[in-house]
Amino acid sequence: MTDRRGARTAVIAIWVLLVVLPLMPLFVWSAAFAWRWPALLPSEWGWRAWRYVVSPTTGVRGGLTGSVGIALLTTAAALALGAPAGIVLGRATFRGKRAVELLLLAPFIVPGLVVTMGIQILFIRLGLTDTVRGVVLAHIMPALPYVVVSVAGVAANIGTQAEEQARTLGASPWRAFWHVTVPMLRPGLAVGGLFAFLVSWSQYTTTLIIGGGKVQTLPLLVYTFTRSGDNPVAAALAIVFVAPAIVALVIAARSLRDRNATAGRV
Amino acid sequence: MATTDKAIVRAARGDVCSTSAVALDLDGIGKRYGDQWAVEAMTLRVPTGSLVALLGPSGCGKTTTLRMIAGLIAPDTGDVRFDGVSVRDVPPEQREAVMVFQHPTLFAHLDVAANVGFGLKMRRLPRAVVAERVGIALVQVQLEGYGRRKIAQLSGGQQQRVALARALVTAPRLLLLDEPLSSLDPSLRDEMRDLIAHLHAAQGITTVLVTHDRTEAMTLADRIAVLHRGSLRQYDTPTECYERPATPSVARFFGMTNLLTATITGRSAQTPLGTFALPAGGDAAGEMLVGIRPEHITLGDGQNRISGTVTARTYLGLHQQLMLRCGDTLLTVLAPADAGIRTGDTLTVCLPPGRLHLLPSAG
Repeated sequence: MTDRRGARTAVIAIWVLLVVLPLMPLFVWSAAFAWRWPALLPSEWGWRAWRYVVSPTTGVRGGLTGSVGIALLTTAAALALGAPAGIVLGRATFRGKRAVELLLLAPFIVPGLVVTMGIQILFIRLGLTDTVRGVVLAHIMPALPYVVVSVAGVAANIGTQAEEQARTLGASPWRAFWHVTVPMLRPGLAVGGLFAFLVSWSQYTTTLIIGGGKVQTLPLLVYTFTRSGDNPVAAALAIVFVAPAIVALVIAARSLRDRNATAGRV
Repeated sequence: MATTDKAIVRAARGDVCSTSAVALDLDGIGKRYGDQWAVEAMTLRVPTGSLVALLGPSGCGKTTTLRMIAGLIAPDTGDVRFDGVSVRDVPPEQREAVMVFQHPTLFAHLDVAANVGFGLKMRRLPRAVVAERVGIALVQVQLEGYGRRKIAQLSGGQQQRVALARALVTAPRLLLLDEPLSSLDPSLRDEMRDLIAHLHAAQGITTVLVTHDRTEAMTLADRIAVLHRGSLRQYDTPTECYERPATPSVARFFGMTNLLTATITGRSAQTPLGTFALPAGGDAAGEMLVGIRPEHITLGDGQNRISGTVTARTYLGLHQQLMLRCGDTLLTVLAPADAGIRTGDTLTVCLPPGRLHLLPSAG
């Protein structure tokens, strides 16, 4: 029992040290009105930065809905495209499997900027630049491998016997897939989806180049305010920027833990 | 050779059970992987309500056969018929032939009751009906009150019983058991075997059991189909398979480990160990095998006497197993443990004519 409590304390300590503490200056900055060197704390406090962030007229709301919307669309598309690929790669053996794997994992290796420069030209021709559609399409590329890898790992583990069992019990191929395979794939889908969301959420260059400044997301706003030296607003935006990522992480971790409690032998 | 071949054909055609209805009819089914036949021209009839064991060493094609019955793989040749109707084009979910795998393939995301009710849910039965039947099935496998448990909270034996209940609750036309006992601890194995026997007796569901365990097949099955290298070697009652094996592979599988090549003329067999007298009544002739069980070889004086050197002893409690070297041939002999025999001793044994068994030289 004490071991367990010790481990818990250690985990909390690590979280505070690595996650909460580095974020503290952001909270202080976001509530500062005047903070000059070498004062340890701001000399004047104020809610100017937060008022700016919540104001409907400043474009922050647009950036937030842009980020959330694009990240959700990217996640959905990456899951829809990546999960089937992951299932096949996890289960099947076929000629050229390594080549397909390499192709699907290429975005891990090739620098995103290089790809973005290339597809920008293509997207201009297709009229996809400066649109949310184009940005989502561009985000799918770096997000996809995360879904493929995590789903393939789980699919390789669960094999095909559970599906066969369901078939002999009277389930059509589609119902066996839906009632048995999909629930068993859930940990892989959760992790892959989380990564896809976070990859899209943190894109800066891709959004800037393909969106051409017309598509606003939070990273773009944070960058603007950091460059202009308005630290309180940049800090408040950064907090808004980090919050959903932490929420997503907690949700995914929780869904994984629930899974593990029930997993056992299959 | 001719007589035994006829016996196999007669048994394989299922003439032995022609009086009762045939639930499952395998008509020359075969499955090829590459240029290797996993199952070749298998013909087998399973009478309605009976329990038939497919017995053989691993790799003999028994699981492949079971999967062809379930519809999980398609045969390359032949036809599978349920109650006389071909199911060649019927997908597994419409065959009502439920498989229970070696490892209980339970759905970990569902609780025990949802697992057992899975097949009924797939048949779109009303919830109340499903709940009622699941309750009955759980009682039958002695898991009453376990419905809300998670799969991970069950022991291996309990998991296998859930898998059995899940299959039985759908009242299938065929119950297909693929080595259902081999993943269990020996102590649980007897318990599970008794449960299978009990449920089969009570419900009379036509059952095909795949096993590599001779004892399991003999205690559970009405008839045993012995498979070797992808083909059926004998299809008979446990007693017939044990006492009158039709081929050398069946004989070896049922413990007749001593097989000698022999030339048969009249009532004598010429073997590398000498000429032996055979029992009266046989009409066989030519190149055959003479077989005798280790426990039928006697110590001391009698007909068909030979001597050899004891090269190894294995203590088995009441008995001891001896390896006896006679020239280039090794015989296995089962002797009383207190016979006072040591390794290196020269021993004289007899092969009583009534215990000698003639087999075709191949198959």
